[in-house]
Amino acid sequence: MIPALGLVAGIVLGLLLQPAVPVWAQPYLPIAVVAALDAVFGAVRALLDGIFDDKVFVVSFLSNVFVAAFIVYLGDQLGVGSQLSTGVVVVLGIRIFSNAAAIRRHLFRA
Amino acid sequence: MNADDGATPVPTPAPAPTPDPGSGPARRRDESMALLTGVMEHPLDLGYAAAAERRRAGGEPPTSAGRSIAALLVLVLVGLLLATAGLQARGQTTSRVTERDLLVAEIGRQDGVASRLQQANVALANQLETERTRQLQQQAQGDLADQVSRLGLVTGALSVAGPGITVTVDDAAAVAEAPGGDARATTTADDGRVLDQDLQKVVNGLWEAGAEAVSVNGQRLTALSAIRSAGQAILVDYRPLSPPYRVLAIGDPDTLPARFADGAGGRDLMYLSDNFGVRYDVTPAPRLVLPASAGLDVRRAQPVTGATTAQTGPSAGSTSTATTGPATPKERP
Repeated sequence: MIPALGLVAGIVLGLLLQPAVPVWAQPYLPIAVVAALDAVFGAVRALLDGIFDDKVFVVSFLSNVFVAAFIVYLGDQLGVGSQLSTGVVVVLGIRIFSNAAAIRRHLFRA
Repeated sequence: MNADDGATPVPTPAPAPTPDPGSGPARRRDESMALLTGVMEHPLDLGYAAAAERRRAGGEPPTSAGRSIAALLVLVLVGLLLATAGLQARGQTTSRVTERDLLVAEIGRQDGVASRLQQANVALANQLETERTRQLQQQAQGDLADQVSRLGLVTGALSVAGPGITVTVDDAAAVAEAPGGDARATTTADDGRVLDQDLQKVVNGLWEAGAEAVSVNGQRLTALSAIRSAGQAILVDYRPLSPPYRVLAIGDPDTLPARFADGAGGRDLMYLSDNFGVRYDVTPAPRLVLPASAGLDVRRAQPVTGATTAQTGPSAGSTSTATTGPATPKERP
């Protein structure tokens, strides 16, 4: 319950503050969102599996976002930024879908 | 991990004891796709299973409470990220405005740099002119110095001060009120726009009325100046101007206003005002200062032989009162 409140608090905070994203950081925002979603879905599934761990969650979130942003940055430098972004989105997307499916099975037994 | 049989979307027949795909004793048939199968079969971070295993080994429950501050902070961060990205995607955030502001600031900055350079240029030209006049006078060639400054006034190479009139021309109120491109939608509004031809007629009317020096929005007109339009902007010497257009003319304060009003330029302005709502205003001024033209360049030069003078173009410099007769520069449309 409290973690969900944290999520909601973050969203409300973002809506209220409307932080201005610096121009250089804008290409990384969508990728960071996908990476963060992947970490969150993984955490929820782990919670339902009964093997959730705080440290793993924090580390996986940070490393996910960092690595995803780094890949996009690298791609931008190499001139293949959009392709690498696509790759990141595909891989993380598959993981999100798989985890979401597991969560669904947990919750609805279907 | 394997406690939940529904955890893996693709059931694998591999007998691999470790979760690492492809590392089992028997080669898996889909080993070449280890990366894909790894992604498909182990969507959950392996760290969770490992941590749970460690806990079990330590005799603790396999799951931590999930109440730690760090996890909460990360969730707040995730929410912040989501909200920011959502706002960004909907274009509500100020990022686009920021980008535009950056460009505007950059343009303003470069404009400032350009005008500073221009001022430095004018100052240097003035210095050059002062030096030249001094040199000529030292060499007892006062006639030459006079000739240079007289020609400089006529050609626009020197800045000029003196009495004259100010003619302010502006778009019709309907055009000025309509924002930018919308004015194009209605032809009536567009009719009220001041065109390059109108400005040409005003300037030519001023020359005709006896003006000795003319500038438009700070751009001194010379015999080589062009008043033309690009898109909706009027260019004088390739510099875009924005309304209202202030045409300064130095000339006889007694005769210039009347001669201008009676001449072709004044009649044209009145016609524009009556038919299209173009706003204009003619006011006499006791003292106007017109800058030197920045566009003059040396085009032709010949060596000085004896008392014969070199016919050079630029001689910008000291502010002095125009005393020459009316110039008759030609306007290039």
